[in-house]
Amino acid sequence: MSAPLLDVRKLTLRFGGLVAVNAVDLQVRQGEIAAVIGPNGAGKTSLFNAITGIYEPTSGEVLLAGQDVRAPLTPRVYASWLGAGLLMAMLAMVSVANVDGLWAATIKMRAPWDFTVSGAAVDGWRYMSAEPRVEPKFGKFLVVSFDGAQVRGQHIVRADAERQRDQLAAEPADPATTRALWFRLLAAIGGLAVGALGARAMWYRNRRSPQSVALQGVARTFQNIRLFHHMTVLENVLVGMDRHLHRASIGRGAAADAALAGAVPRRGSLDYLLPLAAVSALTGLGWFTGDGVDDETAPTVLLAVFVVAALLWMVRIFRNKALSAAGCVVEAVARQEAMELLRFVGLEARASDLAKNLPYGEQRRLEIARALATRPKLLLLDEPAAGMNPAESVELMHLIRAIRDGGRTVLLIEHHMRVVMGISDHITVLVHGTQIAHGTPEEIRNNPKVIEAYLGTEDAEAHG
Amino acid sequence: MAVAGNWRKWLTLETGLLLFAVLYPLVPFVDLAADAADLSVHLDQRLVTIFIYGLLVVALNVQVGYAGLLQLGVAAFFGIGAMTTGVVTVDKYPFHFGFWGALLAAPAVAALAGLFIGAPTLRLRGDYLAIVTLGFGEVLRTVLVNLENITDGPRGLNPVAEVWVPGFVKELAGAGDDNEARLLVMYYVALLVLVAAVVLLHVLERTRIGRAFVALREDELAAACMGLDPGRIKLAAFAGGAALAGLAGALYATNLTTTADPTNYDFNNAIMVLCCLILGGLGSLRGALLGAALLIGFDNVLSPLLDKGIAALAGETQHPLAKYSAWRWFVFGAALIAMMRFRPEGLFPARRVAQELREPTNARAAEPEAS
Repeated sequence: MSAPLLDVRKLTLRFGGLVAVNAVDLQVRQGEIAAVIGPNGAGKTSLFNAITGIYEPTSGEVLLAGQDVRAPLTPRVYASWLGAGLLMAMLAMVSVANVDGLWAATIKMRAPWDFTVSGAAVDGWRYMSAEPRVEPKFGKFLVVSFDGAQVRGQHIVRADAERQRDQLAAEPADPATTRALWFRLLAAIGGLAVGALGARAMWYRNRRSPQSVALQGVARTFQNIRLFHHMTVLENVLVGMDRHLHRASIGRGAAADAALAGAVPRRGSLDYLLPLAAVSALTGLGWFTGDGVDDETAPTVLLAVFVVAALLWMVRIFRNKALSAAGCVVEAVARQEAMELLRFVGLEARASDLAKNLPYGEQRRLEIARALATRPKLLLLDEPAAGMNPAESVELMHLIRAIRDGGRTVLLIEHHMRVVMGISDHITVLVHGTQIAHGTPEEIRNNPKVIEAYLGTEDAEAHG
Repeated sequence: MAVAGNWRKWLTLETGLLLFAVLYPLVPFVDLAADAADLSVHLDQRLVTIFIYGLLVVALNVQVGYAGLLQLGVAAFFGIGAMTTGVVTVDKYPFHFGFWGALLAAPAVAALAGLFIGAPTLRLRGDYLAIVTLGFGEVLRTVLVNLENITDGPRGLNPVAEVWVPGFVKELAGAGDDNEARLLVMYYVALLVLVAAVVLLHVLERTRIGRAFVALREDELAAACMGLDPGRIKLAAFAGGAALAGLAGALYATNLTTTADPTNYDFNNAIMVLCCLILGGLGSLRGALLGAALLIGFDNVLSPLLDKGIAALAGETQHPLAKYSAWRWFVFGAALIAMMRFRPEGLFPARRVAQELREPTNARAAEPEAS
């Protein structure tokens, strides 16, 4: 039997002394509707937050289809830490050695006409290793030490200055030079440590982030509705689709081509660009160089026109690909798909309204549509029926079943017992962060512990 | 593409102003009128400054208006762009990229600087980010003054490469009038860059990245739960805004043909740009451009004009308060206070920002609570 889609193992979440979730085990299989119930403050939403990466669990693991939701520690991650460390080391070393001086010793040192990259690199190396070097002054040259103080020669020709520099470099280094070198080394080591450790700390912190969990196919709604209130209903759904807005998401083949063809009108500005480009190339070349089109430049102009025409012709042929690379087609196709999702939750008539202007029940359905737009494998619904009247909650039950029938798995928190008992395949009961029961709706309904948790014992009633 | 069918759609404020801007250097009617009244203004040269600041305000709008990152260091990126232009084009350094090269290099370097300051500040929000970026701006100005070997300190690098002048313009302008041709080309290049940036951002607003910016501003946690990476989006806003500001810096240095004194890129400048944005309307391209036109125009066109007008009417006087420019900061401040009282969302606010300011709802819900 394959691994369950969601497997929560001994998940514990502590806030200081408060244990919000205590060693909870929860398994949801592909294609199920599962529910978590419990009195207020039982830790249901905290459990959701721990699953979706908003909270880091104190202990325990969350597996998705048998894989840990935390990002794996691959060689590439180590390489990125090392890269950050090396970058910081370089910056620290150059700052300690003085950027200004380095510039003076490399770029400024040579006149623009005899500047070479290799020469500048040698100068830079000489500067960073605190060797004496040659500096220009008033057209002549002098030898200076690593800190820019003049040490030998004065206003001599370059060859002499370089000979003196080499002599000086052969002598044993003075204490100031040694000290400077040690400082640079120290700065490099410090920069390496700060950069690498900092990158490592950031990585561990983001190892289980909401976005990484979402990208693995988990979407959720919130107990206190968190829509993008000042965006339109359609835009809310499009934000949910964000990760699918690239060419690959449209797919290939006849269906994709049809979508592309329908999304963009056939006749575009490129059809007019061709003659325009030819004319402008013909006249422009002479114009821009300022000496008119003469016999010598005419072949070049013709060639240029041909090249431009060929390029544009190719662009016309691969227009769909070019446009989709530019995002236009992807955007149009995404809008169609977003409208379909809105139709699915019954909001297509309100697509251009602002999200905050929707009534409460519709806001809940919009949140579900937005979550579905991420094409999740697992959908977490946090009290979807809260504040809904009986008719609306029946509609909601149909909606959740339709989502399940569409191949998605649903885990919900709910207080409406009619909804929970009506649609759930199995139910987990939490009280004070601890799981007290697990089973089918029928088993839960008759479980004495659950009845006690919800209604209290008869003893308590008698004394209370 | 039935352009003729819906020509009315094109009859907007924007196209009108664009037409004015395109035709102005050819028919300088304001200048002619001013000359007739014996006031010499060269509006087209002053308009270049307005275009450059317009670009800067639009750049800040990416960060503050779209993504909601309150940053006060925009002048630093402006300065980095200008300084990069200086370094890669002046004669004494071996790079010699020329004008077009600088126009590519300046935004690239500024974007790198944006990433550099953006990456460590990803977790900061609101006032804290404002303080850090303010500090960055001040540090950068001091650094530019003190790295004398690179930036020539307070003197600034010069001469920066002049704007590229195409052959046919030289022919049209005739020999001996190189400066006139250069000014004309500078005008059109600045206008072109500004229009290109505005069109680009206009498209951006309606696509994936623009939506991601707004979603992040509205509710970062919900956006993250939809699979958007808040860190990456913030960095994109930082780098994109910085690149545009760097581009503005490149145009600025080219226009002046020097990188000028680094105090041109200090906090006052950043606040001025932010004022333009707030006056015009946060998050709205139209507002950003209007803000730049009003404030920079006020400073650059209106006050010299009024000064000369007063001098022409009342005769030359030495009294310091008899000049309009002595009062301009007073007028400026009073206008801003009146703005904040009567129209806090700006003159042309973005639809969303206006609603956020006018009806403070409980839209921004608290952090998720345990249940």
